[in-house]
Amino acid sequence: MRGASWMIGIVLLLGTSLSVSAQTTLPSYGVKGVHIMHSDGSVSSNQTIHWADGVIKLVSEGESLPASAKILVEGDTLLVIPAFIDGFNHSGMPEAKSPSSYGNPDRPSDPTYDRAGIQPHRLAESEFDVTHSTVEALRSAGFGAVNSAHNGRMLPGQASLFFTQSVETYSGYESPLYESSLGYVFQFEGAGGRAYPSTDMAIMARFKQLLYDASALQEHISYFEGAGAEQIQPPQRDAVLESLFPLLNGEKPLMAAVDSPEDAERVLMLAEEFDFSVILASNADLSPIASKLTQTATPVLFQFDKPDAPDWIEEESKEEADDPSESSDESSEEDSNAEQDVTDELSEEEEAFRARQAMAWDAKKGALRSMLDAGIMVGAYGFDGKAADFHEALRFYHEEGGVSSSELLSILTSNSAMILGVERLGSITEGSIANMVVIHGQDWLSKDASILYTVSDGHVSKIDNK
Amino acid sequence: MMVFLLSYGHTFAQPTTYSGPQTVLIKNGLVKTITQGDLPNTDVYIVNGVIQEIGQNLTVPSNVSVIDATDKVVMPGIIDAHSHLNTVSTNEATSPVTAEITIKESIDPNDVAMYHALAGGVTTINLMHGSANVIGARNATLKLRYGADQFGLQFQEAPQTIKFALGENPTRVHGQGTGVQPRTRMGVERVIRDIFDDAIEYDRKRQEYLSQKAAYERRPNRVSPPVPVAKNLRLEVISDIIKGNILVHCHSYRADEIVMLVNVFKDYGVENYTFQHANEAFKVAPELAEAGANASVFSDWWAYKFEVYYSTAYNAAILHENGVNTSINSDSNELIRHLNHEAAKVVRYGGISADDALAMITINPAKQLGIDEYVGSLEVGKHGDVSIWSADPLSIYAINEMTLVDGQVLFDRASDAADARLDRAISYDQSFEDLQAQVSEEVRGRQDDACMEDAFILFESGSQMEQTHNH
Repeated sequence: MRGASWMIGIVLLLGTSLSVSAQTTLPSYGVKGVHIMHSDGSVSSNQTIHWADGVIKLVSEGESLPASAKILVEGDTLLVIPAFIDGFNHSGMPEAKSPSSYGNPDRPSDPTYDRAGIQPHRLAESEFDVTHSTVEALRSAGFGAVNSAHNGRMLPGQASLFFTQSVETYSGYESPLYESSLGYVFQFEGAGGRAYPSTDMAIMARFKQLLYDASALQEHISYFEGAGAEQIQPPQRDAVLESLFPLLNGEKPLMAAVDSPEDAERVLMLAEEFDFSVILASNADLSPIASKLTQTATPVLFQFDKPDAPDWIEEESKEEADDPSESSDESSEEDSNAEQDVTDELSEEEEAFRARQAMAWDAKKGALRSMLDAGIMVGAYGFDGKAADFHEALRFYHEEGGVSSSELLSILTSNSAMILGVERLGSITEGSIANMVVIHGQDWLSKDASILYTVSDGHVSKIDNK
Repeated sequence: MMVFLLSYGHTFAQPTTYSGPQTVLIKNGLVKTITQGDLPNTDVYIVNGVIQEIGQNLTVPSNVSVIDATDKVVMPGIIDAHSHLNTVSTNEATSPVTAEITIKESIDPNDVAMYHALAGGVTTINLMHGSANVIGARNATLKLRYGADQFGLQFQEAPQTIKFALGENPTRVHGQGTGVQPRTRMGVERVIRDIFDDAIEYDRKRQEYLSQKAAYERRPNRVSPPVPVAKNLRLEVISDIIKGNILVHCHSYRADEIVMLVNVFKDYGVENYTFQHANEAFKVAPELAEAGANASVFSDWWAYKFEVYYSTAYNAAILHENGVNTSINSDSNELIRHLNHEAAKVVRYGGISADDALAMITINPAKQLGIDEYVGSLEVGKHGDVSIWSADPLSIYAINEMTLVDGQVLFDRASDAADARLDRAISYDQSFEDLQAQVSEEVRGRQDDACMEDAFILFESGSQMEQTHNH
């Protein structure tokens, strides 16, 4: 029930069409004879794609492109996939002001909104910079859109969806905004230093009080603006509280970063009390609370960070890999004997420790698989700025975590689009927004594949793979 | 975990985790009911987590599992009225009043410390906020259903309690720390009276607004709309204290400040509260008895800061003899494992009866937490929370062999898990050496600063303070 309204979402064609230089002609491009892998993993070959004005105009087999279209590339060594969507990030945004730069407040128990990290009125488009290196990194990694929000603490701002590219004109860069305010970012980040709130439990309480205050203000405003207004004093206006009205009214979701099932449950407690929907962002395995998530239609944006194996597992797998080549070499045989001895010396206690840690490591690797199996709707978030690491993490969850390449692709494209309620993104069909990645190779996930172009809002970026 | 470190020869079985109320027969033990005397060669029959029958040679269906308690002592699970066992964080030390916060939103359901406490026969704890604030957060009464989630651990029938704190801790954190009231013991009283007055005023305005709103909604054309009064969580909780819906547990040491709070509560009509620690309570025991106040104290722990020097191991006995309902608590993840010894000290020093001493770790704390209707003694209709001992639990040689919560065996010394951590609590990247260091820290002894956990990060030059005990 909850969440249905935003999931359906109203797709506003903002972005370039509303930008300052409306006369700019968006490029008309095409590719020919390529393979397309759709977000569901299905592949069609010998495809022609034509896009203009940021929209895909034509997807079909073997057809030729309109004369006006510039042929970007052609050939059956190429694969085109929908561009990735980062469901929640701080790309293109300035660094947060550190709490220490504010000093200690005079009233630690009641700091200003800013000092407490309560800034839900901030819209990302007020400071988003499409030329920022973090946005360039997104493009290089294959992202065509990012849902970005201010850096900060408990409630740093509202996240908006941006294209990862726009064009420079005489009056500056065109706005890369696709849709404003997809939700409110929430994190268990205290005010820092001696200021309330400093603990997770206090953040919970502060959040509730904010919504009680917002609720009273909203009621006051409606009484004041309604009939009989002459009877009632004017409300004390408050931009921060007023910015929370759509959350209070269930019109927009809370986008909450959590690092454990317990924290996720705490956010769901807030959602239950105030009846709003939640999008969770996490790198943790939330499958233990899958039934709570599915019952409340709460999706999860999963962070593709490759976890590091425990040292002893790392060493063991290295030894295994090294063994065959070294077996003929006498000196290295001694080495491996020495290593063997170390293993023999393990106490029964450490053996047992390792046995359980190996299980924990398997669970960590299988986190994404477990969540998919539990029926949780999973998208992607939190690309940290290094394309190579990101692709390595994707391969990790594929090879070690049991997630298929087509599952990964839908997580990164159509699932993220559905979770954010921007369903004209994330697919390659006629009428979709022209966000695509052109890859040299047949398997987009393979180490040998390389991204040639990222297309965002129809704009083509050539990707330098060095 | 102590066992995990020391016993290489053990099997590495994992602990039993809570799966819900069970049916079980505990057969032929010496049953210490606490409230109805000792019953030799007696059976306790627990059905679906609740005691159904206590008597000799009970007949039960053949499929019921049976625990042979021959030559054992069967007593109710121990109740600790003061613990910070498994909080995520303990102190929100940025404000002198934090009644709006609840420890129920700060429960760590993955902490192996719960298993350690079960090993000592403990089944219920008062999981408390720390003592940094005059009025801290609301507490969480937990049953140690090891393996349950943060909701399943909560003692659903328990009334809400809240932490207060007097004396050095709140004056140091706030007055000395950030220059806000309270700086002195006088200020502590002022903070309480001011917020109580605010809460009464708030409650009046809020109720008035709600009734005006209801009138307006019934007849919007005839009645003008009210100016909304926002729900104020902090003041609503304070108001509930005054109304008697929330039980106060107050960290305190000195007799003068204890009497101060008795007087404040008299003025506002607050009843049925408990002084925690209360090392000087013996000086004002008749006054406490008259006020109907409870005391939850250490048997012999003191001198960790200036206000805790005037202390005696006779404190609990004197309070008890004066008719104050008194419990012995731990406030420590180590001490919680041998509260039976702590109770025994009251017999050793104060000469009270063994039964009265056991009551101090069972039915008396149950009364202080408002849960004596459910736990704290072995009686028909009460929860099947039981500990089974090798000998009289007040003996230094007695060992807790089994602990049951809701009729389920959650600690069994015969199959004690060498590594008692929950699967979900195991870190995939912590090194063996790190874990060893962490465990030895945890089992080493009484933790410093349990009550002031998280508060010290707020001190800019806290090095000296960090070396002191702070309960």
